[in-house]
Amino acid sequence: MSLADAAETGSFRQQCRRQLARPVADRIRFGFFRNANPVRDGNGNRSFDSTGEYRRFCERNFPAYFGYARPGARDRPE
Amino acid sequence: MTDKTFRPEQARLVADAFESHGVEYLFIGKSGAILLGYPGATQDVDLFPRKSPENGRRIVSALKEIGFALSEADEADVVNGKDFIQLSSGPFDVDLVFAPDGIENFDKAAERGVRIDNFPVMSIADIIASKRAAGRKRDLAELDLLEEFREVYEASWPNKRK
Repeated sequence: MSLADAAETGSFRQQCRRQLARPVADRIRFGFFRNANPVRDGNGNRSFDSTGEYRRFCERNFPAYFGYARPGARDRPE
Repeated sequence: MTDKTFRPEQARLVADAFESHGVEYLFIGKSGAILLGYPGATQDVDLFPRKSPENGRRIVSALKEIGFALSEADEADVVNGKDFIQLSSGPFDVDLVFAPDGIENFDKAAERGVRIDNFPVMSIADIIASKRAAGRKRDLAELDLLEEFREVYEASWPNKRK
């Protein structure tokens, strides 16, 4: 591990310790947000017979940069 | 962009409503990790309910109580426990994941889970295992940080369940 990596890891661990010391309400306040979310592209509900079917839906319908594809899966052209 | 907002009281609303209706479930995924104390951020809530018609009916009642508009088809999907249900018709987004990747069954996950206030949460080990099994790029990119968090989390609670 390089010094830079070690410093980054130490910094992240400090973040973890600070967050663990916070009450749940603060964890939620800092951790949950609402933003434009193209994956939830409307108010419609969706259901899938299997989690695999959901994964394939994401891989077919969302661009690769959303990160929903598994490595090696065919990514939708961007 | 919708005008939905996620406020702390809404997370508690889910937990309170599910508890009052006797729903058996766990917070999972990044939302579960955040409740455990992971310093990340997410836009929705992922829940792992026990798959049973009775539990499904309880979920429907609880969701309607907190403002989700569910069609008859939506209700049937929940009661029948379709493996993955995305709900966007409420005050905030919820994913019901009846069959999360990498988790053998609800009973075992619940046994390993923890309770933070009245939030039942999947164990950090199971959250990591599930993300690893899902294998999506967005999950894999976060695994190193989740593992780091797990070490700090477990060290901070030496006498409690992990």
